[in-house]
Amino acid sequence: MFHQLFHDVLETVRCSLADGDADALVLKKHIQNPIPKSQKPWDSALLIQSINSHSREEQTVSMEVGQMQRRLIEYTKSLFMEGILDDQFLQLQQLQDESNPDFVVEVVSLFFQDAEKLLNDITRALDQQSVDFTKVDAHVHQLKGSSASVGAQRVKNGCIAFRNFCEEQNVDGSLRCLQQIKQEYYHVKNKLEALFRLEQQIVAAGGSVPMMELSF
Amino acid sequence: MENGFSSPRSESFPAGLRVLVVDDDPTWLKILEKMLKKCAYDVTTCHLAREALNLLRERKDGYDIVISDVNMPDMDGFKLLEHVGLEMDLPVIMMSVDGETSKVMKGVQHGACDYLLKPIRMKELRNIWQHVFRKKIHEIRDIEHENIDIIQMSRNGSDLDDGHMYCGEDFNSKKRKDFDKNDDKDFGDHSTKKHRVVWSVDLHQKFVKAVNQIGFDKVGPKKILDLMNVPWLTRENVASHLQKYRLYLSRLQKENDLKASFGGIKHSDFPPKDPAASYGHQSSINLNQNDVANGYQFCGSNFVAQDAETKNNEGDLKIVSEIKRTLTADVSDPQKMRSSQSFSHSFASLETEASYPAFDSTNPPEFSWSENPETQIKKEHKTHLQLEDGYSQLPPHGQQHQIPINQLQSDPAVTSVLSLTGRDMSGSIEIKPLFNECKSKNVSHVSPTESAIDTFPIQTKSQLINHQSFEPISTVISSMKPQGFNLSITDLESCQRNLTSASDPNFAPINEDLTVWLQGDYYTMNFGQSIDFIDYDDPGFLAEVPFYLYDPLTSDFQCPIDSTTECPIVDQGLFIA
Repeated sequence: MFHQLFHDVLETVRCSLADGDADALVLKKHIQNPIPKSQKPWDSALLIQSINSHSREEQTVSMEVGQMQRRLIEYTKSLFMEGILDDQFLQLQQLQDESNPDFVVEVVSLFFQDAEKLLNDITRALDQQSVDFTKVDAHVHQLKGSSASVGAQRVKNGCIAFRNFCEEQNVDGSLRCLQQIKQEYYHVKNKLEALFRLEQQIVAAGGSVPMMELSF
Repeated sequence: MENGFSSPRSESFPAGLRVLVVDDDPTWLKILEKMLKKCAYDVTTCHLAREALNLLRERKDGYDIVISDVNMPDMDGFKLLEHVGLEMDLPVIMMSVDGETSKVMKGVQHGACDYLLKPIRMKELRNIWQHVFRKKIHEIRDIEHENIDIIQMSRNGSDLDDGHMYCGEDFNSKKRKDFDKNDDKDFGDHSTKKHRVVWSVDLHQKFVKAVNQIGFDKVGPKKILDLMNVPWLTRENVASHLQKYRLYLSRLQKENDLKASFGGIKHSDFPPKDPAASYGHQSSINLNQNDVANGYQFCGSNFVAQDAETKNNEGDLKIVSEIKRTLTADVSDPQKMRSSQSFSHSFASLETEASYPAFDSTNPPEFSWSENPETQIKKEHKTHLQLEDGYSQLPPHGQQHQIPINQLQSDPAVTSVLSLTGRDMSGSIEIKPLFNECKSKNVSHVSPTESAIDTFPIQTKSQLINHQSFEPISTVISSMKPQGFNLSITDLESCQRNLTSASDPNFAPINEDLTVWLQGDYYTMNFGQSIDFIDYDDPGFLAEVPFYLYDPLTSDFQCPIDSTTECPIVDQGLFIA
């Protein structure tokens, strides 16, 4: 029931209000006496409003962490649904533990470095007068391995397609494919960076990063 | 920790399994490291194949299993696989993001015990210990078989030459099957590693002969087996040996760029030992041999003359080196040696290392190969070292002259390897470790990795382990008396200078050692001219110089060199027991 909920919230807020805070004191005074349930709800609303404006931080701690965590889960899920990440990413997350709390971030960073270098190498190789497809293929193969290691599925798939062009020694096809791979790469890079930021926020807010389970 | 089964961690096996992971992709390396650590394994990582080989060689017993990626920039994963299999005989697991059947098949053909597809799951890694365990069991079984054979042999005693322990011939064996495995292990000093069928010099010699007869391209295990006529040998034994042999040859073939680091050859220490014991000390080699002090057994000609596939150029260099101990030295005649030996430097090092004990004076070890380095070594030749097990694994990376030198034991069979093959001949040099003491069978595996060829030198200082085109190096078979060498060496030296080949086998003589050696049979081969080994151009030449693998157990001195080879060649067999 709304009222009950409302009261609970108020109660929580009241308890979490710091005593020394002048505003808090004012607020507390207001809430000191539990609002009779029959009271006009709009008063309560106003009260809440003022509480909100005054004690946002406290609220954040208790309420937003949960929200952030939920948001993180939803976000990660969407990446899987869209095929940007695959199961390997989850495996990485599962490998992370207290002895290695930043494991995933570290691995992904290594991937970024490696991938960018490889993309440059491929670009340069395709830019030659006479393209050495063996070399290009070798780089693409490496990129495939790298992207598979972090679960960057679309990049990996792009590499598979690319290798066909290499076999055919098709420069144009290769160039187009390269473009596509680059797009996919930057896409996944942005997504992962956003994901890590969310995680950071949660941790900063005192929460813990939820473990995802791939059930779909 | 040594062998897992004997170490304390065996109780919690497979925890603490020592894994070496090789992958050029840093992301994967990190992930695998983490995963393996989660399995409670003891992980070492490495980016490069060469680095991995170094690590493996440095610590012979340091790892239980190797996991390697297939595609690596500095060395093909399959090649690494071969090396590890031949040199260290560890189980190797291949990995790749590419799961094509052809690749997987290639992996298995090269000896991988498993092939994993990336991305790899934890559960796959948890089970890798089974490969280690399996290998151990097989080794133990093989050792037991061997022991049985040995026992049988010793019972038959008389016929056998000393030392022909493992030789099938005199042995009437069906022993393997007859004996109950639990026969006492007299020879239990085998290290557990790699003891399967022990491919003794003699045995390998037969094998190679058979292969040559059939024609390298047409060989098959069955044919070889039939030709070899060794009753107790099974087709499987031959098959696996053949595979190794092939791999070895093809590997050598590609190793033209062996760095013949002659520099590595250390002429080094020539401890002035008295000849008799001189060889013994080549123990720089990690041989488990006992210091031979003197049992020189005249290894004489146990060189297997490989004339097998004389693949010219680039091909395998078969160097037949006959080093007869008895040769007194004149090793000279390098001219004849044309073949470039592309011994892996290991040989070279052998030379150098061969401590020239007796050398001190006359021929300062300059023969050592170390000198050679200047001469360019034609890397095309591969030297085929015959190791007891069959392959001397010259460390692929040239530099380390590691030739398993177990043999350097006592009897330094000075084997100068004659590079008989012409430049274009491929010769295989059989370097047999001179050992005389067969007793311990330890001619142990000279693990290629370490066998610094240095140790080898003992024997023959004249090892021609030159990569380059060697002119035949007449090894100076050090006559039993050290003095002989001087001459020959000098001759040789001059010859060598003429030769393009860089490697100049150090004819250095073995003298000192040789002394012990041939007691009696003393050939005074004049190397000077003698090594007229047949003309080197002729691939067939190799055939003429019988190059026996030295059978450590044998004390017969055979001068395998037929007429053409009068030069005593000191065999320097790398014999890996």
